[in-house]
Amino acid sequence: MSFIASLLVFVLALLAIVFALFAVEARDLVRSMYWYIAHSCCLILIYVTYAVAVQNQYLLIWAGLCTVNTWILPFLKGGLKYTAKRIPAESASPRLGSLLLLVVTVGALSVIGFSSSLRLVVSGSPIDTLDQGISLNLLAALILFAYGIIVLMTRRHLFKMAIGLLVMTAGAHLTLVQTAPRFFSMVEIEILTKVMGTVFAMLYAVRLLAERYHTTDAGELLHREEPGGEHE
Amino acid sequence: MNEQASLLLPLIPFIPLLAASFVAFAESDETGRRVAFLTGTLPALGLAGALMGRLIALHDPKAVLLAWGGFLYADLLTCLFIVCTFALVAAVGTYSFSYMGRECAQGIVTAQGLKNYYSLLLVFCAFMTWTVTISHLFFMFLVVEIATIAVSFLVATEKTKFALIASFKYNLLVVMAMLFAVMGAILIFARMSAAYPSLSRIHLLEMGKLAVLLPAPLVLIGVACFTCAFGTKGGMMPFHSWLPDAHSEAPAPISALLSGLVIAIGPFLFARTVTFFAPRYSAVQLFVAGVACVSIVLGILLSIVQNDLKRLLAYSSISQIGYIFAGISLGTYLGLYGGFFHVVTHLLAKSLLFLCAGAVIYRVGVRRISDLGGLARKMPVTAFCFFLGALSMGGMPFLAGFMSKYTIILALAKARIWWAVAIATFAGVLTLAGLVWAANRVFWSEESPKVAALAAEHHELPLPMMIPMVLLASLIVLFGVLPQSLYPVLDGATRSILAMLAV
Repeated sequence: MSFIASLLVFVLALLAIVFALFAVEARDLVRSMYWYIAHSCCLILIYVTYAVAVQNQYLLIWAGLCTVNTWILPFLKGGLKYTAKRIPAESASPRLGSLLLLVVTVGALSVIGFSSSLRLVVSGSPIDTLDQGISLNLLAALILFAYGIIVLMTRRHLFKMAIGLLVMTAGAHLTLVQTAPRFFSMVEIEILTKVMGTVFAMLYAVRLLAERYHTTDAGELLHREEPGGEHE
Repeated sequence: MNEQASLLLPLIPFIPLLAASFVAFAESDETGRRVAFLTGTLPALGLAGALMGRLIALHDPKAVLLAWGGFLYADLLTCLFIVCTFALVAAVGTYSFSYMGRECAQGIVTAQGLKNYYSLLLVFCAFMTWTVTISHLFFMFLVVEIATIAVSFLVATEKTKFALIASFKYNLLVVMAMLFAVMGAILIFARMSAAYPSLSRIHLLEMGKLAVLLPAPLVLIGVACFTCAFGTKGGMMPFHSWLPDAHSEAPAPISALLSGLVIAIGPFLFARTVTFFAPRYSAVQLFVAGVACVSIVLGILLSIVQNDLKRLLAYSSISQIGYIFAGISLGTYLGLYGGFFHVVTHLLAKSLLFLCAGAVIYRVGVRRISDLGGLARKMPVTAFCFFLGALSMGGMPFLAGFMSKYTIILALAKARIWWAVAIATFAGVLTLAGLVWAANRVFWSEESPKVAALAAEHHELPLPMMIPMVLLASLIVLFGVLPQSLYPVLDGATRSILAMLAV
């Protein structure tokens, strides 16, 4: 890949991390959804960049599917926006630790990136035989994946957990694109669509819980009374 | 590979799908829905049986049926899972005719909810079939997730707080686990695609071939990802946190399905991936055996302290799944045979136990063990079936569970993993004690006020609930007394994995 393409992917990956963090930290859920869409747009642009750089038409199809996932599915009935409007917002304020983590991560990646001309080859790595080595962009994808896991483990708001799952998925997809961009076929594209289905199923449960118990905080939910008494 | 084309193989999943669309969209009464449900499961069961018969008749462990240009495949292991799927779903669905029918009458489930329930059961059947027949690794992850969505809706059928939380948790953890599996597959895919530019897909039938070529660090990272993913899907400790909630909050027939079948997909996927690496890396064998033993012991220890009958059975499943993983991870003939055998015996016994627990809830309306007691006089058949299931699960001779557990312990002994042998044997005794104690407490101890208040009825349960329970109990006795009746299938399933290992 050319330096320009690498640089573009790197900047977009950094932006994707930043927007993912905003999506998780935003207190207003509709705003959180829009940050998630911004995050997804960065991913779409990364796929397009790769598609052009390595001349793989399947990546363009993937980018197209991702566009549908980003611009249509969240606005459907039962999607992210529909749910965000119907459930209580998160009461906890944004966490300073997360912002600190963001600054450190982005700063460290930028310093390493520019000092190594956007190429970071880790010797002895399992995929060190790839012609390009492990790129810094792959590291960004892995950070996105890890951030998704952290969100799932630390957040108690069910909507934010769904966002965390989407971020984690984005990390996995980005890893796949970055490790084997030339070897895509139609079937790999299918994996992109699957998590959205799961998220719809999860949001359905979230809405029902919010309707009945007026909270979507996992901790608070456990202490709320069952309407009409405990069902056995 | 002895590859043969099959026209039946792609047909099987479409039968339940057609029935599901009829149940979901056609205006039919309860009887029509029941007929559609049985039409969606029993003919497919027959076709799967026919495929199994064809493969057994070939007497070739390398025989594999292919369809759609190799996209779908079936060896005896696949056929075993398809038969188990349709048989159990047919049993669970029949049981549900009365169980869910009454929940609908009581207003716990709406009429639309009941329609969705049967359609989702059939959709689950179709996607389970695709899960075990699709040869492309990434596509297989896709169908696993669709099956997961169907199961999560089934878990949330009653729409109580805990059922909804359990459904959310199940979805979240299983998808998270599948993402780990995708990451593991990406590592392998990236390495292979670099080495072989012509490679465009990870074909499960070629995993054995790929396993030889991969460098050790990649294998260890990939295996760790797969173990984490399939351990979560199977409910093995420490990845089990979804299992007790989902099992206890789902309606009893769905708990039977979860425990008998859904968690068995974890070991199936494990056998199709990690087993190929295990014989070449003793560290992998020891690692998985260690995790499995933790699951075996902690599962049963947590089980015996439960006061909720369904939670007790759920934790026991965590323990039993540990046995299956321990056997399969060895990658030896005996280990694989024992593992697959235990999948079948666990399916029979645990489904029976959950259906019995459902029968207790149906009659008494509670599931806390301390609120029960002396039910045997009012529910003699249920008491007998529960006791039989408990004995089989505990590994009592002449019941199905004994031979499968014994085979796994023998396999661990042959692999000289003596600490695992000791743990598995000790946990077997604890399982027997724990489940027999629960059976005694629920059915034979002093009659509790709630049980005493029950009116004596001529029939203890409606026939649709009784038939599956008696059938499962009969199979437990049959496979206990004549374990060799399963030999051709289990031997073929084991040899099909070993044949791929030897490539």
